[in-house]
Amino acid sequence: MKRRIISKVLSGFLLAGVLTPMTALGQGAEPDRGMQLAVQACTYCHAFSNITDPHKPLNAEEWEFYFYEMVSRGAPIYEEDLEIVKQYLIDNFAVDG
Amino acid sequence: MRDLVKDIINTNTSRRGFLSGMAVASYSAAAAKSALAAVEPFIPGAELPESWTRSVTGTGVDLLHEQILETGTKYMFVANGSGVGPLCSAMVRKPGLQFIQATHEGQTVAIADGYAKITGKPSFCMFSRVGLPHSSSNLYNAMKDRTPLITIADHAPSQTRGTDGHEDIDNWEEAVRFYTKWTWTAARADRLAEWVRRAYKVASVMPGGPTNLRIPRDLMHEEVTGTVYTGQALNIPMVLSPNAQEVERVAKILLASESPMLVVGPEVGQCGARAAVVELAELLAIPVIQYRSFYCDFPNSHDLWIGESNQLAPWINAYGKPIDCWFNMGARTIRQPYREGVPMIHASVNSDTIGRNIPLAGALVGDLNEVAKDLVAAIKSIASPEQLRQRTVERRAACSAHTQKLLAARMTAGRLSSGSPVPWMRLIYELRQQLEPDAVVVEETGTQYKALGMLPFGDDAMEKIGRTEGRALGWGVGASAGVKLALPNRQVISLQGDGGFLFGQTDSLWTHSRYNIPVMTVVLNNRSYEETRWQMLRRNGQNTDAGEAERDYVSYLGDPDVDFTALASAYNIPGAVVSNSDELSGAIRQGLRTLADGRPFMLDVRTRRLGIGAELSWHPGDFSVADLRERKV
Repeated sequence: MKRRIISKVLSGFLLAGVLTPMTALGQGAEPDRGMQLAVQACTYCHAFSNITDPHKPLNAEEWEFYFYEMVSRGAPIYEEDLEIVKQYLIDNFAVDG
Repeated sequence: MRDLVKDIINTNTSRRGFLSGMAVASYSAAAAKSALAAVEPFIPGAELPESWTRSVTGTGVDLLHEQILETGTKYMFVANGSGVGPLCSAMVRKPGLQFIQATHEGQTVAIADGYAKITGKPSFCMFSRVGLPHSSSNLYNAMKDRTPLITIADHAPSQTRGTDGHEDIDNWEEAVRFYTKWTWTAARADRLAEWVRRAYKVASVMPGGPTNLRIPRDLMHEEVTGTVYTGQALNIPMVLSPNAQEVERVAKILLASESPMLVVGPEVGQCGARAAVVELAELLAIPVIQYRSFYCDFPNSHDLWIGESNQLAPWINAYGKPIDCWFNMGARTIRQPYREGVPMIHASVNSDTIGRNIPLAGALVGDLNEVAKDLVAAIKSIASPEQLRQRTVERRAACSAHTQKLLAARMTAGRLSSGSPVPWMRLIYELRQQLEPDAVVVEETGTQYKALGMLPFGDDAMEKIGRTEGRALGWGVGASAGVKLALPNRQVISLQGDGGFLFGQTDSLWTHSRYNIPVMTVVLNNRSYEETRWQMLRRNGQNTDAGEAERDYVSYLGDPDVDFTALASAYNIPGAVVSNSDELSGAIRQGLRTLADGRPFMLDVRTRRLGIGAELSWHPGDFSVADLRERKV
């Protein structure tokens, strides 16, 4: 349920054009910065529903693996933002186990 | 130009027709004359200076052998076959060539291809007449990459050819017509050297490609006197300069651009133009995208290197200005979004590809080294250093900040990845820590980002060879042998997927072992054809029927669970299996020590599957032929 709500909120943000372009990367310290960075980085290549509704539920260890894998293949996240985005993904989308 | 060269040496066009054709193809007059001078000696009936030829009396194969030696060739890549027999005898009569043998023709061509790609020089293969079908997969790869290599085989005897006789079909040469620039069956023993020379020249004229020559067995044994062409007749420099007016026009377009993008492809590497392209990019502070290539055509640690195409949008966002001019240097097939109403300039050594897919604002036909140098000169003649500085300083700084932060993030992600099975990015990270700074990486993994994103390639760094643009698997292990042969003083590793390795590449370990070729083969063994699995189980964001049923029909490789070190061991090649990231460092060190001792090494790294279907082990392996039996025989 939590993931569905986040998905709908994000979709609304995207449709309304609220999320800013990547020029904001590395600037500011908004509370939702992890989400903003994740949406910007991930949606260059795939729908954000891949995050909110992945092909199978992922636990924290799996989210870490996939996050680093995506960064290694070029997901545009600067080094100083790695931890905040990883933690955002784990906090909001990881299942137990 | 490929067709023009073929036409003139086959006397299908005149010298004037050749020059006209070159002009139509947008080559400069100087380039056209230079090209004509290069091919002129190969036009039948052409008069050559006496010093360019010598008369040889011997068997037909002696002429062939002498001609190959005249090209400066040291190595002949062979597979066993009685058709190679005449050459073996010729080598006894006159030593000089070193055979490098593979156990079948497909790997023979792979080894020759690796050698040709890293040296830029044509390589010769010889095998049995019936080896041609086996060779064709890697011939296709070579053709896609325009790699210069020559395959030679025997052919049915003149007395019986065309009778559907033993080991013969009609029109053998047609079988590889689309995989070769030129394919021919010889008809006279005294002209064998001439046809070898032609095969060599056609293969090496840019854009290069494989050529194929078949020789009826009786002609190889026939006693004749014929002409052999000396090295001088084979090494006429051909300078393909671009049209000067077009260079100036393109220079002005580039200078006027607020946000240009340079796209580089394999012709940059093939023309030896990397340094010149770096100078051009730095002069204008143009960010660079690497398009699909078997080389790294621009140093990927350079602060102007954006990455591959998928890195484009983040750069545009970071810079805040849309691309207003595309400049394609040597990439073959560029699709959307490059043509969306934005001027495209294309520079290529291959007039066939210029404007083939996209309308162009500028077209520069010529050797890319010449193109880049001429553009640098033209730009410097138009804009002062201060003007250039003002136009570029902000873009260079923005690009540098962006690319260096992303590179740092990739390296950190690799370093922090751990566990069992091993994350592939940790493997690449560990390799980067231990490989020598100028190591050569021959890669045939699913996509090039695994190597390209994290290992540093460039003129003063590592070198990347592969993956082929043809994508026919079964190339890399053989190619790595050819690369090491060409560069014995540089560390060479071969990066392979388990699926790719199983495309007949065990056979090349035989060559690695026989000739003490110190290459480390690293198998990223995730027990799956991963990228095909993704595509088969899911399409356009929806599960396919196979995906819905969770049936992985053809991608799963865990049953049987192949131990690649055991395969290597059968060839007396040592190895190590790594299942956990903690074991990587020690195993790589062991492998590099083995290379230093002069032997090949197999590193079987059990890597982690990912994405759609990663967790599946279902496969149609419950079908058993043994269960069909009614008698236990």
